Amino acid sequence: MAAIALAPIAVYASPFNQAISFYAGYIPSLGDNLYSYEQENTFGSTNGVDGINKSLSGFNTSQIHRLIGATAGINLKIVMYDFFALRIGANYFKNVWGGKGKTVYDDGGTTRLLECTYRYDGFDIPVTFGIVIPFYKDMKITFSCGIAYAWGRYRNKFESDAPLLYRGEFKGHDYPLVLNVEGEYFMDEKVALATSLSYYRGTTTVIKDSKQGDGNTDYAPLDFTGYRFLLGISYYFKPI
Amino acid sequence: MVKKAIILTTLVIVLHTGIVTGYAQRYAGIGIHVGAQHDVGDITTFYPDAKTDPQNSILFGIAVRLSIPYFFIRTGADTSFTLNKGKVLEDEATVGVKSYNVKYAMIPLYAGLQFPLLDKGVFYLGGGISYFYGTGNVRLSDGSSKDIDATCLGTGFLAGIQLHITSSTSLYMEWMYIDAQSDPVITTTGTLNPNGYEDLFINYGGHRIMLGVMYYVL
Repeated sequence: MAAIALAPIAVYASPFNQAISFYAGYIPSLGDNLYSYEQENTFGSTNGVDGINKSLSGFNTSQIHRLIGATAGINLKIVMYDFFALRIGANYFKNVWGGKGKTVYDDGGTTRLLECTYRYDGFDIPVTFGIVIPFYKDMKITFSCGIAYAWGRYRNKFESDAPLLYRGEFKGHDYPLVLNVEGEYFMDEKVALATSLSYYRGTTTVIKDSKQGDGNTDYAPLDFTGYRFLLGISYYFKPI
Repeated sequence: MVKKAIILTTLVIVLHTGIVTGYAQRYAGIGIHVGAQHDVGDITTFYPDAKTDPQNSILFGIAVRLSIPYFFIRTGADTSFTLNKGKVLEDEATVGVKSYNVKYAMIPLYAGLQFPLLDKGVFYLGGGISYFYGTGNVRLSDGSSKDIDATCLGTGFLAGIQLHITSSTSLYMEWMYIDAQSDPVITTTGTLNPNGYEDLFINYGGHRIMLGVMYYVL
């Protein structure tokens, strides 16, 4: 009797499948140009780290690169009727390269060497919905879009022998637009190698410097705009 | 013209469906491509409020592609040719630049995952770096001209698709995004730079689209 009662369940399998993915990758230009008011007001850069770079004969300057960030995270995906997907993720990101060097600035008619440091970290929770294109049992390509809750912390430090020391710290959140394309290549019925390319677009309003004690107050927006390239592995709870 | 295009397209499809009977792993290929980039040298990263007529360039390059199941490596070399110079349309005296002509040679190195599309082709997505050597010149607001001589390393990603035409050749199309800026190499003459610092960096970054043919030797 029990076998007869359970038979329909076996015949009509659930139209939902779930997957969990672990990703790691990198973010070119993390924080974009890292503009802040004091960089323009005191050091003559209207475009943050891009414009702070200057050089002059006799001064030992070194290029301050835009930040490259590393990111890692987890992603849950619900696949509906094979062709639709809801993705919810959680990612941590942090600068790992760039953002440090020496430049020159005009201190009331005297050119001085300026040591600059930029740092940026944070996390985001993207939620996207989109279409899945399955190619037999080998692979799936997913296009999705949505928004993310993104929290970031941007810190900068400018030091010269004037003597001068400016420190800034800006913390805030925003809800950037997220576009994502993801490819999964199945090694068996449940496990796939995965890669993902995301584009985030969103900037906070101007945030007041929360770093106290250095005698100045700076202002800066947090920019989450940029691309993220990720590699990872996915596990599907049911065979595809 | 349209008729020729239709005939050519039909021929490609017929050849494709007739000759390619199954996906076989292709290990090493060499390709040639033509491409384009809009807003080369993007001067608005130097002065965000600048109103510009952006530079456009075409690209010619060779691609070398190595692949094994799941993974690929893509390298090669590209060189750019200017279609139209970039111009600053307003605030020349502030920016210190009137026009610019950025040319470059690029060596990319990208790696990532590839996905076979049934038996017909492959989609691939990877990240990596590009090395740039730039030349060209910048006409400054005082009328003088300075040559560009700047190298840099950039990071970015590559997304591409290949359509197998025969058992050893494929058409490919690639989208490459790179973030790359040199250190300052030119002293501008605008009011932004009263101290005569070297302040103008060359921005090689941006999006590139390339279309080419690849021959697989293995």
